[in-house]
Amino acid sequence: MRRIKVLIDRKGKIIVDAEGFVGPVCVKEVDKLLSSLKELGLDLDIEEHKLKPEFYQRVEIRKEVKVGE
Amino acid sequence: MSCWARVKCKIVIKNDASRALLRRALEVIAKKLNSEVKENFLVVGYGRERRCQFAIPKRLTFGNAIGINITADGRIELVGDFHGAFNLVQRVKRDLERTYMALAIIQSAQQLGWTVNVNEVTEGIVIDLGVRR
Repeated sequence: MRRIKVLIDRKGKIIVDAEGFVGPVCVKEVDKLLSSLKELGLDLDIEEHKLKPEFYQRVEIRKEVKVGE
Repeated sequence: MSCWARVKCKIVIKNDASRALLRRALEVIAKKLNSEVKENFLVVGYGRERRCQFAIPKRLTFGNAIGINITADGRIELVGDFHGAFNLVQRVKRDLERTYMALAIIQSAQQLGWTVNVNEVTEGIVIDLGVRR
């Protein structure tokens, strides 16, 4: 399951952690959440952005094509 | 001796949706203070008073409530006579911001069709979002 964990700490700082994503999809999903929050008056500045190794993994798409049948 | 103050929050109220969310966040805070949310309330302090859009009635040294106003630019201000209650007001401010953030994240995630699970832990509020494909 793809998950986004959000921690709002005691000082009001937000820490976001995405799990189970491959490639840049996690960034897109977090961006969706951030733009939705902007509509509700929360304009959050990203102070630090750490990309996990999964971000750099390629999504392999296989397609079999049969010729001459 | 009084201490009439205005304490600004980080949240910006832009539309009806964010105003409704503010109201819900205030209800959570009021419940923690064994109080309730009043609208269009006259906040009274030592020799001074001000009508506020929202208020959480609370007996303070000189004040009768913590007033909450939305300024022209959408910012939220806590207003009142906070003499002897500055720690309480700072805690309310912090709690209001955190509660508003949590409610906004929950509402946004639900609108995106994600599953939501909320837990309060020592470090703060953990919101676990299940992202559907």
